[in-house]
Amino acid sequence: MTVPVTSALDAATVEQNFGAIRDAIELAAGMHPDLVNESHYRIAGRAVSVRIVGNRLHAQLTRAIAHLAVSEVHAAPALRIEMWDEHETGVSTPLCVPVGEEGSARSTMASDDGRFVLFRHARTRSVLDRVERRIVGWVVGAEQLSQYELGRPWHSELLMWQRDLGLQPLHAGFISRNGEGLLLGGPGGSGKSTTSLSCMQDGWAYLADDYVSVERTSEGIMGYGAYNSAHLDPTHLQRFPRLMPDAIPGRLAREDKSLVLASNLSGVTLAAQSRICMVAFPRIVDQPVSSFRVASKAEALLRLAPSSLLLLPYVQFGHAAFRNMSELVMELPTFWLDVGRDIAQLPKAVDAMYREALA
Amino acid sequence: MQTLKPNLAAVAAKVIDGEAIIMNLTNGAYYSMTGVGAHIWQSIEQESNYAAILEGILTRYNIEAPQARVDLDALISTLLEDDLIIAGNDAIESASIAATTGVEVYEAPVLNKYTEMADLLALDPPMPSLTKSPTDA
Repeated sequence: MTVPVTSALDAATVEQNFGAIRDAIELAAGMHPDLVNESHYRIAGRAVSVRIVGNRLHAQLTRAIAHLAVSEVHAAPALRIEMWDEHETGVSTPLCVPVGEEGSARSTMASDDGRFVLFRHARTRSVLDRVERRIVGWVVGAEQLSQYELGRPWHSELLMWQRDLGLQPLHAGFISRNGEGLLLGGPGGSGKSTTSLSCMQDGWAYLADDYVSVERTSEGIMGYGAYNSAHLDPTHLQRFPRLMPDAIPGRLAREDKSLVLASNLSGVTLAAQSRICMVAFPRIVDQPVSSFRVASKAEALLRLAPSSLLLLPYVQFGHAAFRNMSELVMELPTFWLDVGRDIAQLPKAVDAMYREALA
Repeated sequence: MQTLKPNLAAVAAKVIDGEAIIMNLTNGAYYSMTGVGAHIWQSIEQESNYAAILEGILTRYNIEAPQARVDLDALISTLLEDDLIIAGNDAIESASIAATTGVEVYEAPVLNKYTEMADLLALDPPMPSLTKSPTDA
């Protein structure tokens, strides 16, 4: 069944997209009550409800946040997410059609008043209502989700929602021990995933490998991870033999990395949030063992800010974000972590750095 | 005298441990300057005029005024080219040259520029229509 709304995609029709998608979800839910899945999570320390019409879609989209699931139902969640699967329900709308090749780049558009923000991927589309704090979305079919969408569902939407709540997103990995968290900042390829995963295998709690939200609370500077996923290229994956059996290879030619979902692994500890006690900046070096040294505050800011600002690359957000990051590196101990070739030894270097920071 | 100030519509910056870190939020390019360059950036943040910046250099550093002026002009030119600062309308030539009294070692200011994030941003540019947040005060 098709919801009859037609319009070109532009700023003026972003709100119209929201309405059309919301109506289609209701139609799909009404037609297929057996395909309605409701689940609840704590994301960034807030109650989030997820309602997905489509059993396969629900299974696929919630794996990366499975460790954040909670049993209690919050009457007024801080965010509501609603999606439907066109293939599984047979419900479609002319506004939502596949665009370009599978897995191709996304585009983003906002309504003139900034309230509604539309995120368009090749096979999915969603709209965030920043006032009502509600995401509605369409997926053409669960089987066509990209690896990125499987590993980081609603990534851009959650970033903007968290920013609106006053949280600061950072491009960083995050691990913790005894409730004290270690941020791992830096650009792609610097060693964040290597450090996060090797420490996870050594008993650290795993919170994130690539993206963290930070908030000042009465308990200190808190960090929140959203996804238990990691994306590893083949060479990288070979360094973690224990992860290889559970790695999910890319489905599309352009997906050259494998997806690892830590929630599938046994014997590892996953956590949703932790106080942050230090920031380290991994960098791959050509030396046998890993080592560390203090990073200057300027070095830390130069390493943390540029790629973190890209998470929400909007000028109007940039000033506050840059100020937040400046304050963070000024307040916390900052270190360079030189990641050597012997990955098995890396957690020992991290342990020594961690003890020095807490001393 | 020509007044110079950061281009706040596009730039966020911080001088930290004697190093100026400057982000161009519109294109992802970022910059750093130490020493004399960081000193000059601090003066620009205070919206100083050209003569005051030059005088500040001569008061702090051991450098003759003509050379300091050449270096300052070159740096200002680069900062303007990269849209990091805004200049007033008065001509630079109207500035007077102060006497050197500084003793600190002088090294010509160098603006280090990094563009790898700009390349990434070009692939996924910010959406121009999100001019405000309905949840912002």
